[in-house]
Amino acid sequence: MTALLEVDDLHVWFELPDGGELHAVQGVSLAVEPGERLGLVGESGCGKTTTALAIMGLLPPTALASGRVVLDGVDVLAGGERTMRPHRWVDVAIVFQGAMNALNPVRTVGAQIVEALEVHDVARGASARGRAAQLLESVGIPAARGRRYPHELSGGMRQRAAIAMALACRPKVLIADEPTTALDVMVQAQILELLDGLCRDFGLALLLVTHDLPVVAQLCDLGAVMYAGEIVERGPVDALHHDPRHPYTRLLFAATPDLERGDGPVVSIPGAPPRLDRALVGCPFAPRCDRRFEPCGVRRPALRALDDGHAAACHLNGVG
Amino acid sequence: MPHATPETRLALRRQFGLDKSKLAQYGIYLRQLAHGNLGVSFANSQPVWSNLRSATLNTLPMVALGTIFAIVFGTLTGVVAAWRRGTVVEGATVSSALAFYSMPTHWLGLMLVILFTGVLPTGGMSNDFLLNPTWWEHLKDVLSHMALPSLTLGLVLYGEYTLIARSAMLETLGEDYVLTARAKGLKPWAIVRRHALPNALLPIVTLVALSLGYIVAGAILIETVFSWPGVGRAVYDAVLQRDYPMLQGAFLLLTISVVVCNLVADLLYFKLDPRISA
Amino acid sequence: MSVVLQEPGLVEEVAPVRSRRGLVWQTIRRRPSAALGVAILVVVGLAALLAPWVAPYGLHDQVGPVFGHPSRAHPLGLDDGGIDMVTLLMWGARISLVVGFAATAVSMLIGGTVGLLSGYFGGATDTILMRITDYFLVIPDVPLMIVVAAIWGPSLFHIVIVIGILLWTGTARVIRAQVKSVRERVYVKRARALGAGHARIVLRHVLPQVAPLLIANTVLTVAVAVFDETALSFLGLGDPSRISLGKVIENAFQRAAISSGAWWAIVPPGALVALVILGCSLVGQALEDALNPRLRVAHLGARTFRLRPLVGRGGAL
Repeated sequence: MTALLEVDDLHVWFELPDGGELHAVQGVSLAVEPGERLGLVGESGCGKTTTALAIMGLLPPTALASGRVVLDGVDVLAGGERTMRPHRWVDVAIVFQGAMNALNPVRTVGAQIVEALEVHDVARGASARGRAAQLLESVGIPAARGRRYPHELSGGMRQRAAIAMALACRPKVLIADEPTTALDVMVQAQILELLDGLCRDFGLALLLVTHDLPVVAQLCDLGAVMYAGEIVERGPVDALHHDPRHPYTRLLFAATPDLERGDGPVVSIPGAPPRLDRALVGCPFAPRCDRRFEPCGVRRPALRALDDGHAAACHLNGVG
Repeated sequence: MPHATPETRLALRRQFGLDKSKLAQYGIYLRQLAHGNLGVSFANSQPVWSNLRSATLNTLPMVALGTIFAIVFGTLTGVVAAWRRGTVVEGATVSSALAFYSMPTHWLGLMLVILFTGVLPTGGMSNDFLLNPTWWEHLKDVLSHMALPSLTLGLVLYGEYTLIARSAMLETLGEDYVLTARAKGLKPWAIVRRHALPNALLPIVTLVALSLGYIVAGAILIETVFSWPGVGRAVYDAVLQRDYPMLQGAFLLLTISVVVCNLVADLLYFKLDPRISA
Repeated sequence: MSVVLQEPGLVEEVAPVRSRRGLVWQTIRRRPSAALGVAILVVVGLAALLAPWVAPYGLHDQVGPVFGHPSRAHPLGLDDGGIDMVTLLMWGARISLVVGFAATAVSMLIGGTVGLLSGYFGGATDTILMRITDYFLVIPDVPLMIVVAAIWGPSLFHIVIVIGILLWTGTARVIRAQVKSVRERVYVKRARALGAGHARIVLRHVLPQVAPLLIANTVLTVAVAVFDETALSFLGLGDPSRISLGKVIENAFQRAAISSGAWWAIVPPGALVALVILGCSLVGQALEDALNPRLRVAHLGARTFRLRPLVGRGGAL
């Protein structure tokens, strides 16, 4: 099975105003097969959103990138904006965090979905409006609300509308960047259920970018943990949860309060992520790691395959 | 009145009601105002409102021409400058806008006079020596006289409006829905036209409408340079001649125009922004 | 006039300045436009300041014919009284700048106080003061200046007061907004809870936060004040005993410089005024930008992100 989406050794740097560079993404590689659900997890600032933006070719002018992003066999990163544009929304679509502002406030919700359809020649005019209505219904919004403006919808409805809009051109991959942040808990659950159902019904592959572990656990089959711009562990979600091979993954899962075992101490990870505007020596997690030993300060561990589909970048699995 | 006899002076004072107390005079003025009577000009003994009306009719076309020019070109260049951020186009646009914005209005008018002497008329509103002109000839004559004053106003305002438009556009281009539009695969011009511009127009329209109220006041300088017989000149002459009824009338007019323009700005914003409802 | 430049983003974005102290210096260093503005102002200011010693000729010395042409001895020609233009410009700049700064000082005093009281005390004080401000705002300033100047009589002092009285409204609003936001900050609330008196809070907490904005606003107001002075002079309401740049233009206009072809009597003085206004605008706007940094990146622009050629795999990161 050829992967729908393949990211190969992606690096992204941001130019800083005082002349330096921030190395935001440091050699990320991942692949998404049809129908697969991959959760990209990490703290704020670890580079996961930047990775998502790079996949869509939406990096800002201050960014420099290298590596490959292969969609349907085409390297869209190298091709630039023109190469990327026809693939946007049709092959891979994205739902942004805080869809409150992701919708144009001066146009109706329905019109914005219709726009997606018309731009890619999927449908026009009345037929497009009909399709838009169907899409809204499929995410649980009454079609009549399509004639409303975004500010007339609640936060949860706006997010659902954004999802409906993303699905307009039947993409093969849906990227969801923090789809539940800034929503209250009840609504979060609804959105997750919705995503789950939609991916199943439409046969979508999902790349879920989030800092929220339980979400990944609920929705995804595979997970990739990012730290300081690189993937430090990757594998089936179950394996990450019950057999973590990187201290960060272990601590992340441990830091998530468990409703069932409510009275344990709340674990947190001391310290802060490293600055990315300087070259790093050794393992980036070493300063905060509770299992660090000699090689950790000296050599940067490479992402090594362990068992079936499980890989980790940690010297504890074998130095080198 | 220098050489009038005391009797004449007294008679004039009685006629204009100046022999009553200040408070009584103000009361009379307000009452007359309610009836639409603005009083009579000291200078030419004509009703103030008819003086003002002819002055306003002279000022409006000149100001309108310049303002429309400025709005159209200013918005255009401002939007383009924001879109092409960081390029030479933006630098040139901002520099020229700043330059025009910094030039004193009357000085710019004088510069244009220097440049265009002999090419375009530089004084007055029409050629007094044209005998029995046809309607078309008269129109051409007035327009040629209007060209320079309107251009002066237009250039000064152009600077201001370009900066406003650019600012509003830059703010808009940083919004999430612009990123969404790009992610949807829209081409840059479509993004600007359908998403950025409609949103950027909100603050642009507001600020432009607010500035309109003050333009008539600024026309004073231009009308002095070009001897244009409009409201600005009327105010100026009234001041020099201590023609208080005219002054009061003119001030009322100008203040009303500011208030009206503020109202128009609010109404326009109300119409353009679906987020605001009664 | 200055409403435009209150808008953000006139000059390039940079990362926020780290400390309030030295804000002015940092801004000037980082932004070329601010540096240019400062350079202009310094040059003009020095020329004006040193005029009595540096001016090539006497201010009242007729050194040639009326509207003499520019020549090597007189690079900018002579005015309607045969006086050297360069000399006139330098002395004229003195008066124009003095009026500009003085009027701005008056405006700052009134506007700053109104804004401070209004923002700090809120409530009835705020309402009353803002009503007054609104009344002043609605009146078109140029006509009012003309009237007051005409009635009161032409003297430098009167001109300064007249301009100052009309410019304070802009400052008042800006300062009020800033004071309101500062007042809600944690450390101010804490000081109040600890029983600090109003004067102490204002002096130690509010003013330092407001000062940079006040400086930015001051600079922008100077630009408007200088403009207003030239406008008043042009309309014949300036002080006849002092030569300001506005007066130089007015003289030239009245004495038919244009029909005599003497462009040098009109273009340089106005150009100098424009330069001063430009300098003030650049500096003031750069300062305001530094105080309210807009960190947002434009999502649409002429350029997109760039590619870096592959450095080599598995490598020495």
